[in-house]
Amino acid sequence: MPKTKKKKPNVAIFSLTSCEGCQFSLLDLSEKFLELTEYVSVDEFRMISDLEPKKHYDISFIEGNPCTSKNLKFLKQIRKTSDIVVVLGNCADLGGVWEIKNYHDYKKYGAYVYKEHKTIENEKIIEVPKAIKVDYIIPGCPINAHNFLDLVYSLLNKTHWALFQNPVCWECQINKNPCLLQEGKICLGPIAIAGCNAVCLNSRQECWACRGILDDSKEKIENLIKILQNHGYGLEDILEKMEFFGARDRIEEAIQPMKKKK
Amino acid sequence: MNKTQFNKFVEYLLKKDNVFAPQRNVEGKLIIGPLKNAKDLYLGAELPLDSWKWYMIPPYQKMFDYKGDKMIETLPEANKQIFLGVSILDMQALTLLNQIFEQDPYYQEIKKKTIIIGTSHVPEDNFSEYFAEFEENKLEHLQFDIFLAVLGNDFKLYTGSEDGQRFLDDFGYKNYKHIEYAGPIREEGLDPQMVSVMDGMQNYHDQKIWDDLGKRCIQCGKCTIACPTCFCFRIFDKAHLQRGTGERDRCWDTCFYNEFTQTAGVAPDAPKHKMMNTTAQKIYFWYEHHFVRTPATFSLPGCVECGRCTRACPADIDVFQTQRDILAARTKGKKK
Repeated sequence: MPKTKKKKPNVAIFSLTSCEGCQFSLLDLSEKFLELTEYVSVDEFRMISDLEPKKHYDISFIEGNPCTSKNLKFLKQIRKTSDIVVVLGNCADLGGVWEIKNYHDYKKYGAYVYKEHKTIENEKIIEVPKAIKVDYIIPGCPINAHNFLDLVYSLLNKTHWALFQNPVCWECQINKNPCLLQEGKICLGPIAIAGCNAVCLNSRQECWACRGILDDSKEKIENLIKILQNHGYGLEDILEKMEFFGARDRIEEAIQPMKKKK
Repeated sequence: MNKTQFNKFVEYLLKKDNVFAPQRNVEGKLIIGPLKNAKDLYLGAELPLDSWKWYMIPPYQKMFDYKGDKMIETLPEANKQIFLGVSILDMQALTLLNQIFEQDPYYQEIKKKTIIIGTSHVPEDNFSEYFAEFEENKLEHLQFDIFLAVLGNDFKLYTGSEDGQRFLDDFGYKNYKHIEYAGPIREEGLDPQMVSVMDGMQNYHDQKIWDDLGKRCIQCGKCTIACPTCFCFRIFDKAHLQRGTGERDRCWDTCFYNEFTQTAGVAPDAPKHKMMNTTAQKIYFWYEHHFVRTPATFSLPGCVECGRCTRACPADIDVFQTQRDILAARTKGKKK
């Protein structure tokens, strides 16, 4: 227990449209999470219980995507009442699987899927960092809960925290996995942010960059696309893999100057 | 030492300490790992995909804990370990690492508890003269404990340290020859291939080689992790839950990653500065480290020509081809 009788910082974990898997990752920390509650007071965590909303939060974590206007309004409310806003997971960070619709004719598909589609809100997906100002991002689908712990410890100690700008290949090779790119599969490991311990690659599943794209990755992406094209894939196949976790817009943004030149 | 004696020796090792050795995994890939069964041991010309540095400089290592301004040093809790079946190339790499980490307490703590048992098996392809043939007089320039020279179906045994001698004495095998380590440099001087590649890179620079590689490399850094002599690491702090406590760790890092040469700006939000900005610069830097700076500092080749980087590369960049290109540029430059 902290010796000083200072007020514990209050923390909120909000959930927008999502599978709520990131909240489960936090609960999977079990005693580590309970230990944390001695130092912070958890004032909002729907997965545990319904709590009265507070007027102010020191740290707010946001999981999920603001898919509806109600979500979006709520999100802006959170920003107003919170000192620090942390994005939790792929849905909030990159738009998640929801963002696939941005790349297609979503009005048409909406009508195909839902019988009474006119009553359904079907708007373009907005990523949380584009809707509001965010202070930290913990990426991944689901998040690596140890990133969450490290960030909270750093915030409590007022020290610096940032993810390593290393690709997934770094952890994949350390884990001695065979290279799926060499096997001719579409793997986005070289351009995706590490920190997941290459969990998909450990089970021989290609990386689809759920943790987002590295900074300054223009040359990397161009060269990766060249390698994949040499393996016989068309640009459409490659872009499709990039859509799954909403990384496609970031990738296209990163290689924009190249396209203009052409 | 004949086959039966050798099998008994392996059983003896397994009973004694943790043995690490090359073996096939379920996917048929040759990988170094803890040896459970003597029959899983692979001794042959093929090199494992990973290298021994996993067990000498672990990928993640805690350096110390801190509490306020107090430092609580923690040396790695190293168990006694035996490396069995280290090829002569990897012995060369370990000899280089021993020199590089001579003053590093974490490395030395692990090294103290490690017995290295080498073999004279070497891969047939892509092999420079310097390492190719096993000769007895090469052993005095390598650091090892026990060495198994393949002689038909049998092994001729050498020891390179007191630990190695004690080991064989305890096992009850007396017919070995002791070799005293005579420093890394051979009587005939530096490796001629190493000297010419170094000269090529320093004096006959051909930018086209690096620009071409820069158009292929995806900066995944797999080559540096597979490489048995790449040792660069990054140091970072991790806060703990209690106020003012935390730890400092180090983990493997790669010159291909953006943060490797990033320096902080003045204020917390000042723009960060990077020394290396293009792929071509990064790949040149890697080759320069192995083929120029390491030989210049340690008089040893920074590349032991094991070809692991080439095997790991998703962009099919061949380290042997690049060396040939450097040498061709040198020959061309000399003619001028």
